[in-house]
Amino acid sequence: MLSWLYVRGARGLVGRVSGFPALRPRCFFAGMLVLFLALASPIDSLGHMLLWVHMVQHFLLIMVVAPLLLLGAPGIPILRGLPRVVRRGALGPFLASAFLRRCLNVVLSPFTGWIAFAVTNWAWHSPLLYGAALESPVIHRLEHASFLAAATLFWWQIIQPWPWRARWSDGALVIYLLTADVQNTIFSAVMTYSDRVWYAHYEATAPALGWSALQDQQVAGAFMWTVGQLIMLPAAIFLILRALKIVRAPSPTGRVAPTRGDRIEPAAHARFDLLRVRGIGRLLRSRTVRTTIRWMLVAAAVIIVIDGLWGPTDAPSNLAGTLAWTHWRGVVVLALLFGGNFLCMSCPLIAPRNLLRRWWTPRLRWPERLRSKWIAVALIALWLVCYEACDLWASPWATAWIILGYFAGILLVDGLFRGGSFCKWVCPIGQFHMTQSLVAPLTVAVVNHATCDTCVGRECIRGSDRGQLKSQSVALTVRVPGCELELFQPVKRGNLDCTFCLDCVDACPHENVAIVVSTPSVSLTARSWGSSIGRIGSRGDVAALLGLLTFGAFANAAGMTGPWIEFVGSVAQAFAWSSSILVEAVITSSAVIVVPTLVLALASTLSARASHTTVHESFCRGAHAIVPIGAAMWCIHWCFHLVTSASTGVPVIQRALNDIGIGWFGQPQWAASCCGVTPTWLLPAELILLQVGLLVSGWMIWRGSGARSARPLLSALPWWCVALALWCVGSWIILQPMQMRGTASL
Amino acid sequence: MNARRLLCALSVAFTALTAFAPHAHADGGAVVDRAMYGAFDVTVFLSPIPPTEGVVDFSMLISRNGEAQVGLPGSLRAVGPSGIVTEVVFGAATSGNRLLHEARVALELPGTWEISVQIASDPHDVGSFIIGVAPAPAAVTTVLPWMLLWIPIAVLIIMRERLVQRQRATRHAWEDRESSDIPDRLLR
Repeated sequence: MLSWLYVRGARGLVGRVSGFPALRPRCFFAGMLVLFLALASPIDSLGHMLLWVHMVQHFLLIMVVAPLLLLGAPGIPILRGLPRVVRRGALGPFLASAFLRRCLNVVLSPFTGWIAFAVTNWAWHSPLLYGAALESPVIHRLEHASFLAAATLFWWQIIQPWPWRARWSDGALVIYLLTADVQNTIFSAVMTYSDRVWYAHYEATAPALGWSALQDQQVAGAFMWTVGQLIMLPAAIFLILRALKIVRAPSPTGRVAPTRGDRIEPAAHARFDLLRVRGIGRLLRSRTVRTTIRWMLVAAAVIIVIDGLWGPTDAPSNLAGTLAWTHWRGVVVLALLFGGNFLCMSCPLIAPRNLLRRWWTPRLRWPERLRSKWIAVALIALWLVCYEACDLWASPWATAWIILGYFAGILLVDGLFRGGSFCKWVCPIGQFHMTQSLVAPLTVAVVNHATCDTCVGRECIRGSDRGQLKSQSVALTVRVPGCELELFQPVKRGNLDCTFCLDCVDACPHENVAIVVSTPSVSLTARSWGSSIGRIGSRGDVAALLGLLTFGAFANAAGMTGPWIEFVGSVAQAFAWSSSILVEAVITSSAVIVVPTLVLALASTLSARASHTTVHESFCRGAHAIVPIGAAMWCIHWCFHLVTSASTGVPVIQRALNDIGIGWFGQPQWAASCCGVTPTWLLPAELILLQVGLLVSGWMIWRGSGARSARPLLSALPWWCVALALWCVGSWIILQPMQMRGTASL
Repeated sequence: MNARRLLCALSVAFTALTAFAPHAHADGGAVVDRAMYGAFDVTVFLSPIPPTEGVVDFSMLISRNGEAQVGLPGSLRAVGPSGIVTEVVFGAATSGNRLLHEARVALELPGTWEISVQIASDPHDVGSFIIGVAPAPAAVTTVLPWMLLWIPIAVLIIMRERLVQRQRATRHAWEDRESSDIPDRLLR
């Protein structure tokens, strides 16, 4: 990561700034290479067996890695390599703080460097701490980190990485260096001439490799002594020569600060455009490729439907029970969270709809009264309740009918009404994708607004006619549609209602529409008017949709935990209800409709009173702000299934192929159908992701509700409590035993 | 310098090093036993220290005449407090770091476990040693550090907000002072 940031930031510096010649990146990467060799090569393995090898490792960290990294002057390039929002928004205030600068001055003073160097050297080589480091990987890493940090502080004074200036004269630095060498020599001599073994650990390991422990210790001490001096003495001689002005400082040592003549290019590079990336950009821009992907997914949907209707009835051995609920959903959230709404782009429902429209042109316009998200809200609530109550995930038959229902729905709605009416006003999956992609890092946007100011055709929304050469003599005119969801690109805000269909990219004659990087979640607090959606912050239907999906994420995940299942059973028993479907329906309805309504109403009222705004406005702001924690929960839940049950697809596909007489992939390996061992990294990753959601939500609440009102803390407090409560519930869910859906043992 | 070429070279180097890394990483742990098993000198490392209920990582350094033996087949057997027996086979496939033979064993119960190592080429010679396994720590204590990471970040965010407010106030104060200076100078 650091290397990548360094490369990104060094691009505008190399050769253009007097203190930053091409040698600097070479030094930096040489340092990174040696760091890798020291920590992840056989040196680390052998260091556990032989003391002298461990000393070689420490020597590399202290005497080679730290100076090389500092010669690379990594400070400015890494800062320049950071995204602008992090550099200026997050770090900027800290870098500008006078108090923190004073602290930094203390940390970077020669006294601190010398003391840190000596203390780490003596402390970590004491038998107590050294033994602890050998026994615990965590303490071992801490030891290495402190060696590297102390060495960096020590060598900082000698090398003075660009653009910092020297605090002490060269003469004083010679004393600084020689006194450090003296303490190193004393320590090495004591180790070399000691007649007892310092570290008992090596008494067991060194003889196994043909060394005696004492012999090993003597070699280690001698190595530290001689090689330490081989580095420090030449450095001291160089400083003396420089003090006597016999040699000049070579440029990599960075004693030259940037002057007024230096032209440093701004760190903001050309805006990233996914459509310009070689390979993938060309594929995405191609209308044929997009259509082909949709038809391939139509074929997959047909196979899943056939298997769901006529295949095995148990979910773990059916394509509809595994691929739809385990794999597809996992891919959806990963794509949404780390990319954009690419799933709507490749939606298989669009392909037959477009085929139908070749022969049938709808005349009607979607009714004005229904131009809101309330239909989608009702459908999503229904889906969340039915999912738990009817165990949709356990029924391939029901899954197949849901897929068929979607195809019928889009053909009916878009067969009657113009544009993308189904996607924009009805499709629950589409609404899920579009709302969750509000926290995605990619968005379809205009590259240069000045081009749009002079545009008269407005092809991105109206569509355009493109000439296409069919043969040498015949030219065809092809109609390229504009945005079916009525988003006018120059005033589009965020990803809401954008299906990433890229029709606007095709239609724009100026090639001024692109898939660009945007700050995730920033559109959630936008107050400006957006094309087709109006002021997002005052749309009650959108806020209700977002609130439902946020609370739905937690209810949906809680439904698979052991305590929830026990609770449902005990409620059914207490009320003597024979139908578990009814009990599940009542409890899930409470969790996704009643509880969110009460919580959001209370938070909105309290926040509105504090900020002297309307309850409606407060509700809209708050519901938008808690989207990130909801998105995190969806990702945690569905990725859990994907990670723990990724192999379940293999035997099901083998079974399906065998059923149609294709035995190339062998007999189904049903052992893979049961849940595997949960990776150890999954739980920490889930907890971290939920916390990222909490922090982003907290920040959004502050920006949206708090910072702009008269009483900011009081205004934001109710919504912070909601976010914190959701985090507590999410953490509890993550720690519960999970029902492994779609993976029941056969 | 051509940044793109540098980036390409860096990517290739990183990929190569990452591919090499799994074989290069060392196993941690403390020495719990060292004994001669026939002609072999076997040193057993154990991680975590102290061992707790659950999966425990044993690593064996097997040497003969001072030379490490790599990929030597054998087995590690653990007999638990209630007679529960777990056996894990090690060999070339489990010598991940080219020096140690790794055997991950699930020690399901806390208490005293007897561990014995057998090397396949020397089947008659089996040595054993005893380790004490502590109960697994409560789930909350293991996950608590992961759950509370947001607090320091939230503190940093709050600090940033306060800094921004202070810096903005200072800037406004300077601007006010400068603008109030203008009429005075004009008057003079």
